[in-house]
Amino acid sequence: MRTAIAVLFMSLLAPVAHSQSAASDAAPSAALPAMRFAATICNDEIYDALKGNQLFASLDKTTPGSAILIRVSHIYGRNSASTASDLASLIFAVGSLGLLPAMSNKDLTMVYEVVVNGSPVIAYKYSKSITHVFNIHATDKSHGLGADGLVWVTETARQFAADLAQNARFDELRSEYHYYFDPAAVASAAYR
Amino acid sequence: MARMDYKRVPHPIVWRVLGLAAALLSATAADAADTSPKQKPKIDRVLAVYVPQKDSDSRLFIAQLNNSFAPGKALEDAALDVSRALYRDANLLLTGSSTPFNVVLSLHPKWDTKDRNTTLTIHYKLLDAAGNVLVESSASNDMATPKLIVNNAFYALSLGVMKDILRDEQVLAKASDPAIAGQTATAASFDRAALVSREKSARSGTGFFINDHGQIMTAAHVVHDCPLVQIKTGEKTVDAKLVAESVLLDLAVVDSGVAAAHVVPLRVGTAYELGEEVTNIGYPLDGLLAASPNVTRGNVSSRGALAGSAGQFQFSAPVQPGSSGGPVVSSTGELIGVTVGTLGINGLIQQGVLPQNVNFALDARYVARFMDRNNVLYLTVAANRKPDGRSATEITLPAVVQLLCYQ
Repeated sequence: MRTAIAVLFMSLLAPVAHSQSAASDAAPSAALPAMRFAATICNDEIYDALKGNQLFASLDKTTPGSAILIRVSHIYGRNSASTASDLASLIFAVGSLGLLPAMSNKDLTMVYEVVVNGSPVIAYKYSKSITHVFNIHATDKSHGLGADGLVWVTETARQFAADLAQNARFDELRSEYHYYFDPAAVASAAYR
Repeated sequence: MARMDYKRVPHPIVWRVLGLAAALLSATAADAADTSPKQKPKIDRVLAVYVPQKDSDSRLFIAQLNNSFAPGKALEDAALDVSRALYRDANLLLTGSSTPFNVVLSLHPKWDTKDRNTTLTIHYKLLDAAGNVLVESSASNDMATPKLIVNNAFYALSLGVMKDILRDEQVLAKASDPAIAGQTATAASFDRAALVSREKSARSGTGFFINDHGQIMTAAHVVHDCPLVQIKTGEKTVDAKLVAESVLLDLAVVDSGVAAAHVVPLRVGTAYELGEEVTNIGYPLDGLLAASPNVTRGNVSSRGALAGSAGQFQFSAPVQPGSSGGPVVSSTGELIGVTVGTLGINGLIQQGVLPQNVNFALDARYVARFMDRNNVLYLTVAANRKPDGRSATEITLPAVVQLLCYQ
């Protein structure tokens, strides 16, 4: 049921967010160079959200030699009240043999980094308090985030694409890439 | 019928769970309650906090928890939180930042896990805006390793040490000294070499002279984010300054300020040949091997490198950590590439594959374009397949140096 709700949410929100993305309006010539992708959470969901953007058409999980890496990591922030309430909720859930649902509340920060040859050069952070109500017997397909949390994480991928398209440092990086690796430029300079 | 009596003694695991719950609740409550020094007026100074890049970027991924930890970031957060409670303002000392500051706190953390305890020791220096060291000391704190699974344990541990450092009477007195009130500096004007720990280099690499003005080519990852770079030739060591850098190509040029008698010329006219014999010279495994250059031979084994890479070729002359930035030259000493990497074998060994001598160099075409773009002078030479009697080692070795990065 929750999965169905999540799908409904995503189908409603995704087109709106996509139309708001500045990156999606970019000219084809502005396509980014080949980049690797790695994420510590929601790997497929974030990858698919980025690949849906024209700018990230050359994003790939299987190009170990790419100089540019899009690295996505997540950090659970400090939230004193939630630690106590999560624990109490879990004790009640276990005590009721799973009849009562458990609840978790986390301050989640998604960190998107552009890493060039191992050096982080650009970073964006998006944070939100995520509440997840779940049954201890049910299988969780939301990576422990709940349906709303999963939708929000997917939204951060679209926001990152939009932010990166406006980033001056990334524009410099893209220009530098084309200076060195544009086939015509390399051919003209090769062993002249 | 006899009635069986028994005592309700909770299972030991119940006590352990209750104990952990109590510890969690007390730790989080204490963390929430004690974040500022209270009441005391703030010191009317702007503090810059320096954390070496190698420590700032350190990451730890615990697969069982499916979570990554960033102890360096936790330390930075803790340092800023405590600093901002004590000082008028506090910021990280970042390259290129234009924010002025009055004093700098240089932090050199060391995380040490032994048995069931993890200890954080920070060696620190407080400097004024002119780079003079005002206080230098160490502080440490520890935590039971199992507690590191709790959210923000790294932050909590860092917070304790940072409170000890920043509330130290000597640090407070020196930072409040009216004599330094008028001194200000920015990241651009401050000599960051004063912040580094010269105890041990953070990393080392290889470089080679590209012109007789003393400019040296190396790999960017050898000198990137290094406040102090030193060039070592034999027994002589000199400080060098960064002239140009491309993280994208993994190339950099530093200036040693010393005129060079020998330089490595770039081959022009023709490209390298597949199978061509090459020589690589480097200073690998600093601290393990004697400080003597390593010369290895092999050939150009492929025109391509890893899938998705650009501008690199593959060669078979053995390289080790510390070889990066070294020249890959032809049998007549012409530069055809710069060593930038090797194939990581950890993942492949787990799959039962042991690759051998799969190393990568940046094609000299891109080296030339890099130097053109940054107006760096370099020497060129036409391809010469006929040796003049001297070996590639004889021609190239005098121009190769070791680079040491201090953070």
